[in-house]
Amino acid sequence: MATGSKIQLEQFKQGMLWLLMLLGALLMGLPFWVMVVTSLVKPDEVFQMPPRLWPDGWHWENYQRLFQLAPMGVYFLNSVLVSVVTTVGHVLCSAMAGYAFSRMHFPHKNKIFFVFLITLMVPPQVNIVPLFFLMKTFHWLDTYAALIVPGLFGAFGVFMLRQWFNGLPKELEDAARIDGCNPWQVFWRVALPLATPALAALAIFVFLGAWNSFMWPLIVTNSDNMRTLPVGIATLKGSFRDTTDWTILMAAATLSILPVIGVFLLGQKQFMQGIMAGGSKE
Amino acid sequence: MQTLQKFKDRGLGKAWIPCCALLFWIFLLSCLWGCQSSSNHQVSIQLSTWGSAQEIGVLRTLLRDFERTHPQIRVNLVHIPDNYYQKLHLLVASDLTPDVMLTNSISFPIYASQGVFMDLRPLLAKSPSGEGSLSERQFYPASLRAFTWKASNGRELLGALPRDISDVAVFYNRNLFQKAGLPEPTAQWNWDQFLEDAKKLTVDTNNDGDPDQFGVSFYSKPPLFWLPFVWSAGGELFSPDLRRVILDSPEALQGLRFYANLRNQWHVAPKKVESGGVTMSQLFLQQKIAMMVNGRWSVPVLREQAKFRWDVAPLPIGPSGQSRVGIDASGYAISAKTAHPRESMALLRFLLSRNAIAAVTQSGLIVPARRDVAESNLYLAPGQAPAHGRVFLDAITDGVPTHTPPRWNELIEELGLALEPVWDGQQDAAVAVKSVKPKLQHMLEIGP
Amino acid sequence: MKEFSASETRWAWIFLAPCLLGLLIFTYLPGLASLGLSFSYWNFLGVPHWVGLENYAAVLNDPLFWKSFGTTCWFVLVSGILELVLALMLAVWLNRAIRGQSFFRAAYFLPFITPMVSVSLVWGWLYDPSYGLINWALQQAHLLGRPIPWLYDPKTALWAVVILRVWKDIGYNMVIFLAGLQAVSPSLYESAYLDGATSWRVFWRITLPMITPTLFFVGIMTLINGFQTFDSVYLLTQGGPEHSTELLVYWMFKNAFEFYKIGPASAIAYILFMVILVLTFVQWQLRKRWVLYEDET
Repeated sequence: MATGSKIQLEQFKQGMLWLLMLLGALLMGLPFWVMVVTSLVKPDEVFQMPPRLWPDGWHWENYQRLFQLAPMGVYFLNSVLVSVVTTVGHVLCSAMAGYAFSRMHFPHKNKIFFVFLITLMVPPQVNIVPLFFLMKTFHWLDTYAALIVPGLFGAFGVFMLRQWFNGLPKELEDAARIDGCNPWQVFWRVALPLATPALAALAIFVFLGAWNSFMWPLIVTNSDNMRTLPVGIATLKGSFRDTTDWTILMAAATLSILPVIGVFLLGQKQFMQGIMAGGSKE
Repeated sequence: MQTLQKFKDRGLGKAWIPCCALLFWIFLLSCLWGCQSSSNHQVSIQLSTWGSAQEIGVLRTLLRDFERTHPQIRVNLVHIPDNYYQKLHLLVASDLTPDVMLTNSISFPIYASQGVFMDLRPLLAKSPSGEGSLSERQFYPASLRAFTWKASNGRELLGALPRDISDVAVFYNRNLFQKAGLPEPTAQWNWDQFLEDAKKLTVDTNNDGDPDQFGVSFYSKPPLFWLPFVWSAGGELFSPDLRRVILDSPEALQGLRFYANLRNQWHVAPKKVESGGVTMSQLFLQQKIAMMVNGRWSVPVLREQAKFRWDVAPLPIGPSGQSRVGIDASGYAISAKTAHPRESMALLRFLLSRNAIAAVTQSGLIVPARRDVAESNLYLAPGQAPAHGRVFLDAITDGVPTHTPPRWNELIEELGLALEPVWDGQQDAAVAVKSVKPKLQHMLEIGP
Repeated sequence: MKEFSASETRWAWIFLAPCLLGLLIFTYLPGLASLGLSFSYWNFLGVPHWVGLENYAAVLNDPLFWKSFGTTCWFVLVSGILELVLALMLAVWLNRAIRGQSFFRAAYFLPFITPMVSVSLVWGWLYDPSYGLINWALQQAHLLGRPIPWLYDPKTALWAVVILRVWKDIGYNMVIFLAGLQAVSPSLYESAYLDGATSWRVFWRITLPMITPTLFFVGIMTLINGFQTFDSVYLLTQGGPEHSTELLVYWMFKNAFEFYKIGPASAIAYILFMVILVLTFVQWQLRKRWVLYEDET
């Protein structure tokens, strides 16, 4: 066995692979780079060729102009409020339902499970018009209620947490029961803390979904101070009557992406774990 | 048992409770904050409008003045910068119709036909008497006609009072004309001269086979950009009773073909690929197109950013012997279901008063529908570009009030789709119109 | 016969109530209303009235619907295959214990978490035929003669949307494939290599079959998400040029919120629902045939 040259070949292949991966990673990040650079360029120079890969001067005043043009702070706060409340509520509701399916015995369990299952198949667009009118009936249009409440319920989290609870050893919960805890206390004090990884993963999913949600907030908000970040950005784009200012648009896009990147980098480990757990099971 | 003790004492549960309570309160408070209630017997009315940041700035100043002189009224500005009619439609559908709405005569019929707007004729006195009253004679007749809806029982309704008249004209770059040695356009120029000028102004500066400077702009949407060519050729889109599609007449087709050939046969206008995501205004500002067919709304940006001398000329005279552009109006309507009709009318009178209209006119944005402001230096602004602002006023005489059926959006979508290959040079106009005519005819027949 | 304790049942209902109620009110109720609307005529103003199957007939006879349907199917197929294949390739390479694995994972994953609205803006700028980076770079590298019209030509616009989608989703798929690959025990590989198998053979005969459950999961998610693409079309092309990017959800949205044709829009939505349902069902049935080793993972 000519191990020497074989190892060299392997190393060469590894090296090439690494380079390719790096190239790919750079390509993945390039749009973000262009976004940031374009946001810092002088508006007159936006259409200059060749396209700029590095700003000539750092024109931070583009961001100033952005804030004068659109209430980015309001959009941001709205997004934060809606996303956070939706996440907490959704995770809690899903955990409760998941726990019930996992640990409790009650009549018609399978039928009710089926009811949950069906909702996974329904594409959200099917419901959008009647849901809009439901919001109108509740007088929730253009309020936080319309942005938050419909997003609090979903079967995906229920299944994910049911799976997780199924995997927990029952002894701790049984012990708690014997000790005199009612089911809520068992859930709250024993099961839930043990489910933290799954909860974290679900929370991140729900948060991202709420933060990036576009079509629903678009339809359900009218006034500027109710708009979330994606809707605010789309509105900004549409508000340029005749002369689109790309520097301002890119500044808005940059601001909208920074928080998600921050959250991601902080919770990367849990997130990856959660996705991988969710992916390798059903 | 020990581990269980640990769980019981963990205190995690204890920390969560105040957290959740806090979140709940935040949630509740923000719901309440969203629906602010007015205080001190103040009446709160809603005004919806589109507009860029500058326009809104001017409007807000005006509203502050209004609230000062009318302390018991508070105006809530609902600013919808894009997809205005989509949003408005949803608001109307949800019984959240704003009390006062800015609307355009093109999108006016569908709401007028459903009784969304209040009849404003009682607001117009026979002749102006006293400050703040409005009379019929103050407005250009075409603008009032644009907002008159005839119901099926013959009754007429004046659904909105006009703020401005929109028509289009040809903006041109005086520097580029001078450089090419061309005389500037006059009111008598026709299609041939227009084309000649455009050809001479289409230049390939770096000799790569592609023009880098174009003679004229090209917009295919909305129809207000190509319909004037159809009209100036003597054609029409619909019959006057809005029952038939007559875009296939030889005159109309001539208009369509002339416009399409600007791009395809003579290549004096940029193709889609050549302009991409850059708007015609931006190309004009960059001096990459010498002439731009556009409306008065381009003026503020040009005044602010153009680094060259520019002016306007009327659309060239077509084969019909006339230069005809569309006249549509934007104006304020009052919701028929408003809870505060008196206050809404007060706001309307204020917004259409001479001072208010003058304030909006001064930015250069609009051609006021009020004749006293339009014919004055407030609009004509001697010393400021465009020197020939009168062009917009003169176009009103021969202009075609855009008369639209209620299903306009859908019709335009179909027609736009059918005409796209024509603008791209893939199909002749006659073929395209023939293929889409039955569908459009059907839409006209079935009504709203 | 299992005895149900009354108190446990009560507790179960308490636990289930929020989610169940929420789903009933915010998913089932609108879902049924939508079904009803698909059999009605309504334009938001006035009252809906029953028209039976008229909407479905109109939609199924509308060539624009079929064009939209075909476009969507092509889109889902092409972007789906690209996504899956590329993500799998990346996952396989990444799995080979390359240095900086977590960096690469994060880098490829980043586009997935960002709002489609913001990245659509950037890509709209990148795709500009005259000023965008993509055409410029391709021309500089002499790979291109004439600039590609991207979003402005019916032949290229859909590809632009495909590329955007692949770029955005590839990281997510890669991470899931990575998880599936890492679950394959290395001893299997060792014995194969000892037997003298080439890496291609190893991949084809060992790796691929072992990750079929993951493939199934990712496949279904990619399929369903593909059919629901909306944000990018709304921001980049609005269905054009010449209807070439009129994906079904956007076409439905247009019918509902631009033409105010609620009946046909609801019909389109339900047809889409049926399509997804059928495809998922078919995938599920096929699962028995090609998803292997499911019980062992």
